Amino acid sequence: MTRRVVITGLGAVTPVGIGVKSFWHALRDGVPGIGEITLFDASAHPCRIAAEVRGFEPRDFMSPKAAVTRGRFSLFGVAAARMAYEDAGLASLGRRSRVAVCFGNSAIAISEVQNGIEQFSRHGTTTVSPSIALEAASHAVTGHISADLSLKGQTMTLATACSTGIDVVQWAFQQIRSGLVDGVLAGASETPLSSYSQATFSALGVLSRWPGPPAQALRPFDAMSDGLVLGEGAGAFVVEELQHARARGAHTYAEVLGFGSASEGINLRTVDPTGAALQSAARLALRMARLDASAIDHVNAHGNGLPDYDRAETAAYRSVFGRHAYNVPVSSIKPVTGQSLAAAGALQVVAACFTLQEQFVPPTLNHDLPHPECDLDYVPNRGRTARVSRLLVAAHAMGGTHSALILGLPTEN
Amino acid sequence: MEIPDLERRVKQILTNRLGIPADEITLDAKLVDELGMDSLDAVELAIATERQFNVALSDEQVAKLTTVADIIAYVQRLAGEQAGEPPPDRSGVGSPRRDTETSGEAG
Repeated sequence: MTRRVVITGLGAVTPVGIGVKSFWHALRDGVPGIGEITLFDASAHPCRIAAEVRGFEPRDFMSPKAAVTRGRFSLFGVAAARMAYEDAGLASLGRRSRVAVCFGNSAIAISEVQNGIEQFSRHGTTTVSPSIALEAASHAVTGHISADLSLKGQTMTLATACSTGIDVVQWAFQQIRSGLVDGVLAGASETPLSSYSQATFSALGVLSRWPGPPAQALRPFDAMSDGLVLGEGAGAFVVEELQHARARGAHTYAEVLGFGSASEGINLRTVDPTGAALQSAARLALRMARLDASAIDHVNAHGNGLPDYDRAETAAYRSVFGRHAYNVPVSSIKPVTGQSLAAAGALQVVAACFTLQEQFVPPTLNHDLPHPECDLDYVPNRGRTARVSRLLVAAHAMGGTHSALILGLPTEN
Repeated sequence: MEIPDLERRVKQILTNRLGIPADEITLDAKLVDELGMDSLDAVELAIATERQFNVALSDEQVAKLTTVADIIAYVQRLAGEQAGEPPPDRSGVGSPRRDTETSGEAG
């Protein structure tokens, strides 16, 4: 008998709130998350805005010592993971070795590394902090989650840039479906905000230079869009086998129905204008879910405000859904979360779970003047109630990876 | 040579590494048993102390100190030695526990 896979716990650290409820309320109400950068002196940068997490108190989620010694991306990841763990009631589990941890990130502890290199350049080897060797590594967050929650199954760290937050669900699904584990505490965290990374992304030409209010700078699928805005945060979820969840009486947010992933195969930056790779990923997900494209009621899109990415994404949906594309509300939550790389996809998954639960599709903020090639229903600026039984979550990594995930309302049988 | 504000500054170093508020750190607090210092913390404390007070001490030396007062006294003694002052009486706090002394206690 096929093992069915569901999502039973959620956690979020975001620029618009700590915890999934405040995150969802901000999404629902269209609260923008982008403002002036305060984490470092950005005065010399052409882009001086980002979606920063504020009001986060790490001691609420871990020991005082952990709160001052861990990298910021680990702090966010551990906090989100603990929320999901508690939400799912995993503490009551007897066989904790049957629960794995799969977390991802893209920019590691870039700010802490930058600080360390600056110290090293000034003072030499004698003042190098040994902790950075442990805390800067991408798997540090995964290890900290495993240790803090005493989860002693396999740990896995993924890094597929902006697709990571979706790919961790895929990894979890495969492990559970194959019977290797009963559950996976999965998610992604990201803290890419440092003066150095801001400079590199700016040099790459992908950051917005919007001259108006920061909250309006990231404009998915909009004709006035000129680039993305970086953000930080973390999203986490407990993915587990259906009977395993039911035996515990856990609340089920969504069932994982299918996924697909494909790559551009061109280079790290270029996207095929037809969205060919996203088409492949979405079709793979539909095939795995045994669904026709017409069964999809909503898309939580990548929609990061890069004009070429947004156009290609739209083209892919037109191709995959055909005429149905014009009936599917497509939302981008990036103006709320910023482009938080690996964490962005994880937060999309959290948002998608709430869309299913609340039967409400969040708005795409700052969508005022649609780009001529972006002609779908992007739920501009105001969210709305909608019947959503199955939805597609999509992410596109700078690097060429596209991933698509199909979630459905949990059913009784 | 008296190091100004030494106690407060040492406590701040401990706060920065161990996450314990400075006003909760007493002079007789045991570094390992009460404040939770481990070997990695010892290395970080040695580096921070060296940077803060410009005295050369190793993490092995820090690891042999028992209390907060020991750190303060030890930093003071090193600073004095570097300034050319005669070493103070080493029987009290501030003397790093030496392997020979440890062996003696064990024996």
